[in-house]
Amino acid sequence: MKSITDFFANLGGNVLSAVQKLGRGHMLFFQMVMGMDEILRRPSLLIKQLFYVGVLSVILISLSGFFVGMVLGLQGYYTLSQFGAEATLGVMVAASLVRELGPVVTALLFAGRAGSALTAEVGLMKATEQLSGLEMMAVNPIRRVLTPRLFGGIISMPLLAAMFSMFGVLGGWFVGVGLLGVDDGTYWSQMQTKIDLHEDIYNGIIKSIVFGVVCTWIALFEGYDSTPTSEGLSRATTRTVVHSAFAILGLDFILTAIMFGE
Amino acid sequence: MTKQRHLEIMVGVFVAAGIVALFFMALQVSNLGNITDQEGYNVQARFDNIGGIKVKAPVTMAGVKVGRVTKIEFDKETFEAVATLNIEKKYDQIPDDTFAGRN
Repeated sequence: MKSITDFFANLGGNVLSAVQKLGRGHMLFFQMVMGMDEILRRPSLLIKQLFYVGVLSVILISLSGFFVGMVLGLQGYYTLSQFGAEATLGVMVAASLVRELGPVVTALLFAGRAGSALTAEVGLMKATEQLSGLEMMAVNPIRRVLTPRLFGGIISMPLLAAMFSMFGVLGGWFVGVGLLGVDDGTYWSQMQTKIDLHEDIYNGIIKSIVFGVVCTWIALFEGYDSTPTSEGLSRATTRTVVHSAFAILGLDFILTAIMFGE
Repeated sequence: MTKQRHLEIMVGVFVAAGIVALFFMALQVSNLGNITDQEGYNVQARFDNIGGIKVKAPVTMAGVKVGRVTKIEFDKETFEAVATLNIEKKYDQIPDDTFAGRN
């Protein structure tokens, strides 16, 4: 009898703490967005975060995009040439990059590269009581520390995803046209007739903005909500990457179903 | 101060590169270049069966693309499919007795 009530007590406790955490996350998001005027008043805060979150990710994102594009070129050529349809290689490469791989892989890399760094930074600020210190000086740490980071992430993500897709298309071109002998004109013209500006490109950008919000939000919340010990910090950083990956892949399915499902 | 300036320059380059990438996607990858001549004129074609034709499918004459399918409807009086074809303005010499087929 005791073990049964224990079971229900545990279950209830877990659900309650999950709901509380969800609530704290949404409260924090609301407070971060409400602090938007802070970045208008001090744009240098945002610029600094754009540098750390965006600029430092450019090389990783561009190189990954190029390699993903090259793999798509090789693999696509192998499959398409069996049907004599090498001419549509450009469509295959561009459609997969713009619709799915660009936003998703960028967001996954972003979560690993920038998200974990944000969590560690904010978590350490909390552990060393820098956030409380700011509060003691009547500076709101959410507005001063978290808001610029959130918007840095939201602005960086679509730009990074666009770079990823661009380098991917060029990588596919390099392999398909340069190495495997697909015609240059066919590669581009097939792509241009099949890829639609609204349907494919805008939706890809919307996806990457959504992922930017979610990834940065998760990273900042985990850092802000972490237990201020070295163990708590390491767990928070792990949770950032794991939760971001789940959120990205899950949301990607939902967004794809809404955008491209008929 | 110089460090701040360095940061600003790098961020400026980053944002500019991102916008260049977006333009590249819009101009080089998508069909933005092709849909600028959107005006053209509409003609209607009736089919017993529309088959696999979808909106935005290309309309070709002698194998050359001259326009796009913009709308597909069902005529409930004649029980036919009515496809509206948008033909580019430069092809305005198409004879009256031209008939449409699907392939």
